Amino acid sequence: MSLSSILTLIIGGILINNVVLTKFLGMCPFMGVSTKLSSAIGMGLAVTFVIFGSSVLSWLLYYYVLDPLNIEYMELITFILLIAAFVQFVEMFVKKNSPALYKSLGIFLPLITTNCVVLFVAQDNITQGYNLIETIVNSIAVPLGFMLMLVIFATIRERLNGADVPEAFKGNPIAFIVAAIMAVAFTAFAGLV
Amino acid sequence: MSVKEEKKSFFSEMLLNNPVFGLYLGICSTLAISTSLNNALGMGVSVIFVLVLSNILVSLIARITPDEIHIPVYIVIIATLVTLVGMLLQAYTPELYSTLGAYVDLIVVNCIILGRAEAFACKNGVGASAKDGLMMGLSYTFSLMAISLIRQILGTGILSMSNPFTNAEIFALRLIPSGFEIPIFKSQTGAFLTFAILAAAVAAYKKSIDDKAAQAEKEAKAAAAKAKAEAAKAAKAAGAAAKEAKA
Amino acid sequence: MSKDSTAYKAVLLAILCAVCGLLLSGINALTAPIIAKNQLATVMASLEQIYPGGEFTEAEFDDPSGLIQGVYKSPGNGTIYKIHNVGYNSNGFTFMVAFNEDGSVGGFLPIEHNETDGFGARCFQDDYTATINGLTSSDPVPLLSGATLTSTAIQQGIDAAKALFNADAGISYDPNAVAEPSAPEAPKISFSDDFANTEPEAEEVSNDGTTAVYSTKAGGFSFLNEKGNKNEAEITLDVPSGTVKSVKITKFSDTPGIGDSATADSALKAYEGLKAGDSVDGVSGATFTSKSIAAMVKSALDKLAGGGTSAAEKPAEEKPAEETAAVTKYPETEPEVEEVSNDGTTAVYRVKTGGFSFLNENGDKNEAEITIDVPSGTVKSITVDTFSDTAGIGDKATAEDYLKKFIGVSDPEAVDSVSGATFTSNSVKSMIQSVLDKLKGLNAGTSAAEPEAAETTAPVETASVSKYAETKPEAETVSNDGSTAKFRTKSGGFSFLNENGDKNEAEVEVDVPTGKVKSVKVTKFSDTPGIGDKATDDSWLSKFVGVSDPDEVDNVSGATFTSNSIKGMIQSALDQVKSSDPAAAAPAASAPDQTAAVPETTAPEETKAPEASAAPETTDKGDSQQTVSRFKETEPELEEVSNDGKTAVYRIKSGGFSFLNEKGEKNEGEIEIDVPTRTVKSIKITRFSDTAGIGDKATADDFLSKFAGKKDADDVDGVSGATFTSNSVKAMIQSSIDKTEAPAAALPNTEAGK
Repeated sequence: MSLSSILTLIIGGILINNVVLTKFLGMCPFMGVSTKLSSAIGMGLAVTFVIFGSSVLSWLLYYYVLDPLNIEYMELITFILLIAAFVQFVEMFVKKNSPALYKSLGIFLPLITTNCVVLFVAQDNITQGYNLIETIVNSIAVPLGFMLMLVIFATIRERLNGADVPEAFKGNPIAFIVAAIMAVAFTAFAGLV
Repeated sequence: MSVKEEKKSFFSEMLLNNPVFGLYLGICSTLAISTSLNNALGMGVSVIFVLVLSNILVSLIARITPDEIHIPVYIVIIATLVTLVGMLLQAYTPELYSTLGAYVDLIVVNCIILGRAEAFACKNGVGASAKDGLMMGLSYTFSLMAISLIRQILGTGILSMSNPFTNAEIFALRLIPSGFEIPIFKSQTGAFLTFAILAAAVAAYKKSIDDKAAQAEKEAKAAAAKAKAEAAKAAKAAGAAAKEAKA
Repeated sequence: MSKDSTAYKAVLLAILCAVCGLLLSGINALTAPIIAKNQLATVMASLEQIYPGGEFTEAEFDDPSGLIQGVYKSPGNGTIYKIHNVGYNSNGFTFMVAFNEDGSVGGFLPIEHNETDGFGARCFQDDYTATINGLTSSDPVPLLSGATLTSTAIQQGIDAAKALFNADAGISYDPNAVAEPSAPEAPKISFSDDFANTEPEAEEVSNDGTTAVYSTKAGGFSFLNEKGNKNEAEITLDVPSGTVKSVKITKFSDTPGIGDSATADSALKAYEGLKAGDSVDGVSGATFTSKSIAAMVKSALDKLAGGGTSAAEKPAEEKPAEETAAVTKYPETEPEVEEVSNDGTTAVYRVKTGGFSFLNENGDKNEAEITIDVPSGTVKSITVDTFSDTAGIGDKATAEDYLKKFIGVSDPEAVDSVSGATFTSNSVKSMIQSVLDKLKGLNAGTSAAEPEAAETTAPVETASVSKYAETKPEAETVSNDGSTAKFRTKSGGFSFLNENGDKNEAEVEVDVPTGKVKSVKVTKFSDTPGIGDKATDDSWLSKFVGVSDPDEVDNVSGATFTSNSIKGMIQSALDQVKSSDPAAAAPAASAPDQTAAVPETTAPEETKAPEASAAPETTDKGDSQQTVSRFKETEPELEEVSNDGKTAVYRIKSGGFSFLNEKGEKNEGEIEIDVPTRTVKSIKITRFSDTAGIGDKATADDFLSKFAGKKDADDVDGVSGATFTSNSVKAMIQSSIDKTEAPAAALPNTEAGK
């Protein structure tokens, strides 16, 4: 488990194989949340925490329960239930300890359950055969990349609001055009590692 | 409604209440899968299968499900169906399965399915839920195929389809001469671009419909107002005439 | 229980999960075997592609790299490794590589990849896969320029497979060791043996009645098996006794590390004192080279016995090396010399030369500091500063007690190489030689030395080629209007000289009055991408503008061969301008300008010397095809079918790629010429002998139709990527046109104005 492979995971997860731009995951909340910078950051951090927790738990569940029992096909159900339960747990925790945060996140907190990125990371850790350390690193790096996108997009969209966008493109379509340009820009990272 | 009007409304229903372009649901897999017609169809059919069955099952079970656990219950149902579809795909159409890859499992978090379950199926009967599922699934598939068509033709120049079960090619038409295709459409950037343009087109169409409706309404209002004014005038005139007659 | 109670919820969930679980396990039982079969089938399909009809068993493996996904052994064939790695696209790619039981690569099969077209995807196309297929489990895997990430990932994967394979097979390879397993005893070679297949050539250099020196060539391994170059040697005989005085190898073309053990001084000493009819022990493991040397010695002895020199060949001012202002020996080590100080008594130099690492693994050169005693021209001291070759193997040649041997020496060849460290020994010798040369003033400039010119021992016409003769430059005048002359030139670079590949080609424009270069444009680059192509960069080429001597421009470091190739082309163009009489320069176009027509060496004094023609083939065939002014190397054969004064129809053959490079058949065609205007009416190819898919673009109707109405075949550009076939077609057309004009007389030949 070398430092360089850890670094590869981090840089790969955040920049090179950014989930939003290369795998199109996390688009729904992406389009909905990324209009204000503050909510973008809040959302990003919440997602990071959820993914980290649920992915590690999923990994443990897979290798200590599902695999030994040879019921790998239950992976999807168990993972998604685990994620839903974890999100529920986080929601309760936040509601009790920080009502202000709870209020600002609003409906998006429970919606993290249906965020493609969460399930994807949980499953990807298994598909790629990562060990526990790699899983932890990956589960933090990838949502950070997602958060990076949210933040960048939020700032761009704030600017877009004042721009002279053609009627038909206002709102989501122009956001997708921006995403297209960013996708091209981020391909520059391909040779980084 | 006459047959023509029904047809028209079916089409515009597809277009305007399109979950993908209208409501921006289920975008993740839409963008990722839409590189070829085969993939689009494969994904679309899977989604229809899951959507219809989950709507049916949810509407059946909704009555006996307490509110607090309804989300996990729905999720288990949907996840089971998705795992099922995945297994069947892997067994009978391995090529398609390997192309769709992780996105098969991600159908479970496709907002469309959970969204319709919550919004419609739990409140309606089995038949209606099934129909709703079918309609939504069809319009999803329709938009998926639209994107794929554009991306495949512009990106590879060839429009082709093959039988997913046997991998035999059904047809392959070269629509753009070799060397003139635009490979960027095969990549992520192209996906975003195509999506943006189609979304804008749908939005524009929607707007024109809305404008027309608003226009019609306005005219109706104006006509009504005019009629009212006329009636008032007539009444006034009649009143004046009566007065005249009296005098 | 009520709907709201916790128990109810728990039970509901439990039942639901149980039902779903059961359902899924049922479906799983149904589909799992099918899935397993599918996976095996896809693997089988791929395995079958590599070893058709073979039996496969999956084997256990322990792969630390984590890249290998499966190992499949096929008895009687080899072992296949399924590898997955990530190149550019994050999804990675999968491929299979197979090693035959003898260690050679049995197959390279891409299974799936998502790499980018035109970049990484090129690693899965024929050109690259062909190079992989030619390797063995001991060879390094080449990278592909422009697809670095992907090819590096492939390299890693194959290396992992190699490690497993070599471990299994017990192969550990020592790069400096002699690798030929067979022929353990020294082969006994007799001078009465038949060496005809080595095609020996001998040329008397001098004979003063006591000592006769011969310059000889004979084919060794490289010539016989890979159509490479022959070995060359200088053989000194004692005339009265007819015995061998010495054998000195001047050009070694066989495999370094294997054949060169036969060129070691100790091996050559065995020939001393031998005469015709004797036998000699060859060097075990280097049979081909040994035979090649014996053949050369024999040919020299024969020549002495037969007496007389062979006629047409000329005097030897062509003595290899010294004359031509190039590096005398070890050109492949690309020595770089820099004078540190020279006070007339002692000269100190810093030298770099390539050893094993540089030559085989594209690694760094070795570096040393050498002190020379100026008056006597001998080595005073040598210290190796940077050693880049293999520790434990090559460094024997940089050890103090070995280097000591060079002190007082004026010819590094006097010291034997260290056995088992040939490359490094040569590197050291090369350093010393280049320094000595520099002292003698033979090396120009401090940049990498020019490649050796031994090849130019060939016909003397080349004596008039001023420089870079070894690159065998060819210049063909495209146009010359008295003020600007445009030439199409070719010259061999690294690929041509070392791998028998194609020459580089360029278009050079020269300002006729001043004899300076106006522009250089490289039209075909045949050397190594990523290395030699730095010398084709416009930024470097532009340095030649306004120059009348290409040597004014320094070579591109690291791209010596290509730099010299380009300089060769420019020089040949300049020579053409110098030799042609500006006043007589015919204005461009049709009248075939004989000044440059000859593809051979520039400024020929005599008539053609077939040797230096473009084709590796000797075009010695008595060239009676005087009808052709250009494209001589395609050896067109023309046959008039009919000529009614208005239309002339010819059936014609001319060699394309297959004929010139693979000794294959010529292409054949039927051409109609309009007699009055001497233009092409139609051309039909009746036989295509070149490479399908590549050369046949030049036989396609849309290309052929371009010639209609043309008076000169060169008015139409050749098809890019199908140069040979295009030239073959053009040759057919040109000879038809030429024949139509003056069917009786031979066309103006090289005599013109030369």
